[in-house]
Amino acid sequence: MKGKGDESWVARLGGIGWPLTMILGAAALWEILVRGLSIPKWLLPALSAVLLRIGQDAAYIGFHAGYTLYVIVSGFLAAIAVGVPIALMIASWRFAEKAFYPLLVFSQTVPKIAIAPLFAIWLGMSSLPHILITLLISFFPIVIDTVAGLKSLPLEMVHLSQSMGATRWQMFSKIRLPFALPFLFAGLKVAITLAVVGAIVGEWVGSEKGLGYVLLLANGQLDTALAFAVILILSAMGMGLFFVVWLLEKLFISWHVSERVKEIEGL
Amino acid sequence: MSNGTFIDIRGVTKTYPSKRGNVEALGKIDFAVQEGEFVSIVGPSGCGKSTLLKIIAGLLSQSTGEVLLGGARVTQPQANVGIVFQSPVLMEWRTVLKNILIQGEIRHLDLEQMRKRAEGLLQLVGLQGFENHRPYELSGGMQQRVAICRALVHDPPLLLMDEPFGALDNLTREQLTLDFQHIWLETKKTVFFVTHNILEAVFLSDRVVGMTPRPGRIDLVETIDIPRPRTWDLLGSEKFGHYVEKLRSMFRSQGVLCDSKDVPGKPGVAGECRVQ
Repeated sequence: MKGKGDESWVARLGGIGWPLTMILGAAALWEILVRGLSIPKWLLPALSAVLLRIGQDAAYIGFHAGYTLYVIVSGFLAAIAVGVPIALMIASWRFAEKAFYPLLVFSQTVPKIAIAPLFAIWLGMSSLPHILITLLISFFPIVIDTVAGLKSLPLEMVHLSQSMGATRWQMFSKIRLPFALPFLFAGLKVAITLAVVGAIVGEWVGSEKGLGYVLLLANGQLDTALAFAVILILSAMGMGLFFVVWLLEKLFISWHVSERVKEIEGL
Repeated sequence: MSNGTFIDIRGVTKTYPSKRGNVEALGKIDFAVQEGEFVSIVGPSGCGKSTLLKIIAGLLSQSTGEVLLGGARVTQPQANVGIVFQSPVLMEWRTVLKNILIQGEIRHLDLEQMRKRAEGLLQLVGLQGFENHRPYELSGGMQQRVAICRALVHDPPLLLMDEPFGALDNLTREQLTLDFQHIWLETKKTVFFVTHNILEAVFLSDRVVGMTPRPGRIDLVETIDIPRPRTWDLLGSEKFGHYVEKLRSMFRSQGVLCDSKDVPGKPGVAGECRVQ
């Protein structure tokens, strides 16, 4: 008993310990290399310099990070609002599949960075073009994965619900939708990471706010420390958002296989 | 009304269209199942026995003929049945109890009464205390027991079972067959039981229907005259052996079962051997 307990304690520490060691190791390496090789500040600033910059310009960076966060979250939510209904239509009607799929693929093959300026022209200097680009970049995996989930319901489950006299709505709400949830969440996890990219692309093309805008400024002025500060904040934001989606997944579909693997291993 | 005809299959055939012409899955089937009767259908893979079950349930339409359930023509999925499939088809997101109660939820039945029935059924199959477990926490045999409870909870007059024990290991299968006999003796439902296992069919049934290979036709109907409750001790008995042998010899004459002397694909002693 004691041995088993120790093992799981070590395992648990390893669960946090390994990634933490790697991150700290990489940070230390960065600091040491930059100082040891005396790399010029405009080429690659030391980590300490970057962190210092975040501290100094906290208010400035915070304001723009707030705007970018707003764009990411709005675009992501809009992607769900658009992506899930499209997925439902595609899964429900064959003609919808035929009608939407080519358009969907087209919307993904068009380089977003190429059409982003058009959005800026059409929609002006509001947050709308930024949110739209974010939506466009992140809704695709939501559609694809939700369609896969809705379509992979076993035939026997369809037969079973028919034998219960289920209406179309009951069939959907009680069986098809819960069955598709793990797929939907897989799509959401991909989508949230893409939404971060989308927001930056949107801001790059035309904005007076946001981390994308700050990044452009910093690059233009060879303010490498600020650029790195923004990149660090961005990746922290991305990880935080991913974590939120992951938490929601755990909350909603605790019954799902990929979610309960740990539980089984822990036995 | 008791012991009247419950399932009346009249001249039912099923033909599937395919790229290389039509595939005749089911020959002409005429058969009647009495109310409260336990009928098993045995036949080789692909003989259309599952197709027949789905036609009775209204989940598939026949090509010709008709099926009457309790006197009414089957034209759409039938709701007054309980179905058990080869796989448990449990909903991973629901607990054991809620998997059974979905019958009541979808049918808008009194859930409190359903819960009492479900608990009674879980007791009957030996799963009391597992109400709040998730399907993945149960073994395959236990999951199939839950599926049986789900098929019975709304007290349907007819139970359709499509190789319900086919995916289980032999020991679990033997035990579940035995337990299912007790459930049936308590509920006395009309049961239409599809299997490819001769022993199981003889053990459980009032009548066993033997089917030919595709296109499936009825080859043999055997009334099993052994008093219940039956036990697996029967395996060594002469009477049980007699029924089993009769069905086995049917399969031999069809070429489904071959003597060791026979070579697959070549004419054997009892008929042409088929490669399964």
